[in-house]
Amino acid sequence: MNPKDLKYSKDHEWIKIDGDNSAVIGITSFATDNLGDVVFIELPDPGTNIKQFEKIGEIESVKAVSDIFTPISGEIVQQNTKLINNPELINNSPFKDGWMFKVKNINTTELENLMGVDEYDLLIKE
Amino acid sequence: MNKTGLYDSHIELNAKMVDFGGWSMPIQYVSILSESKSVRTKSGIFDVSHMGRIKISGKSSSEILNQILSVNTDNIEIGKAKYNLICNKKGGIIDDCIVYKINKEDFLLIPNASNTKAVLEWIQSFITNNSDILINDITSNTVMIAHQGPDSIKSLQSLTSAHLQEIKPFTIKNITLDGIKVSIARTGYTGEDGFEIIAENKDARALWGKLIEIGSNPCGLGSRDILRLEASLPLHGNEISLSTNPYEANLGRFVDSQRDQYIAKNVLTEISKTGPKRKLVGLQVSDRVIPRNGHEIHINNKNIGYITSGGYSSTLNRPIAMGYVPIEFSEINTKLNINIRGRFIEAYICKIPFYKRRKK
Repeated sequence: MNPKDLKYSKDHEWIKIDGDNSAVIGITSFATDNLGDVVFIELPDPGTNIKQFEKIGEIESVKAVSDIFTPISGEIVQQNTKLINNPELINNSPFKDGWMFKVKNINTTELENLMGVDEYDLLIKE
Repeated sequence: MNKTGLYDSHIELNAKMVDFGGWSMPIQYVSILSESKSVRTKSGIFDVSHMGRIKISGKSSSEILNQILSVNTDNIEIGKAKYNLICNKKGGIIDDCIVYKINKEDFLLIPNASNTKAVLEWIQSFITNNSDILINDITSNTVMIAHQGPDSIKSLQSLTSAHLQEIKPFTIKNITLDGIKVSIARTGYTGEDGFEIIAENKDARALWGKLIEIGSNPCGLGSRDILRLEASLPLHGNEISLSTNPYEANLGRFVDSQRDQYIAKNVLTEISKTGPKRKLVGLQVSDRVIPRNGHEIHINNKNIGYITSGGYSSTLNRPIAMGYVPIEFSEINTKLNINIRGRFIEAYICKIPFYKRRKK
């Protein structure tokens, strides 16, 4: 059920390459299932430069607060404002409508530090 | 870890289980928000078997309870119950619980899961060689199911010939539900109308299944916590503890200290005269972030209090919280800041409860 065309981080973020040196980032259904109902998401503003695996925001569910890490370096170009206003989207559609943000100027060699779907499936089975 | 008589039912329903006061309990089945909504709009069922069920009987039972409880059991009618606090000599709260007067010399006490042992030990310490008292902890032989919501009475009525409408709030009765013998009380911890049902372990799963069949939605402890917070009911360990007294927690109305034998008489009479130094208040925040237990409350860059509980209200669609502030800062609409992970979020004191059901 984890899409095959995505790359995954051990922090349960997914990344999808979206055109030249750009990517879309979200969190996996494994993460949202564990978080429970999400009620608040805080992300950096567009224009912010982010570094692979650093903490860039927070996601709050009815149960607890968790950190959001970025699976790749680059510059944030867009937040999913629909998600910011309707945080439950991330529970209902983590891989599609519930995407979190888009980045540009990525370095595709960093993708080697991430997992393919088979490796990620194994990780969450443990 | 302890398992309730409904453990297998929770696993079958794919519940997320957590450790709660030494018990493996469901925190949610599907979603905390949808489960809270079902209780506000229809009816939900909660396994609350982790709470203690202590039978106290014998000629000395009322005399001993009158030393311990914040209410005078002589003033409780047979078949009725009262919410009360168990305080130590300093007025600190060992636990809050409901006491049922089953008969003149028979009582049932419902302490919190994590305090059952402390309450039992506290009672034991009042027993002397001359006491005629029998204490029977039936917690592990029975289950307790809370059936809560506006549809509760109507749907439960389909399972019994007893007239549920005649079971008034804080009344307990022995009846059968779908042929299963139960003790049923018109009590709860959600701010809705409803019942708490005690049944034997052997009947637990059949009863639970029947309740689902009549349309009750299984709800976990996550939704129970947000529902009780909306109704501003205190949780021991958060709003009340050994270091809080009943008056600062707005629970003075549950204290009747006019009994000479009452252990906390002097200290509580004194506090009721002078008034508490701090007060439990409701807080409305300006943001979508949720204040949580332990977050600091600031006024003029000074830490003046702390959050006891916070959560996201599905009924109001916003975060809600309660906390302690000094009495001089406790007025409604007082502006303050809450330190949420280093961010000082604006908030103000609002009226509690956050939610009050409309009486029919």
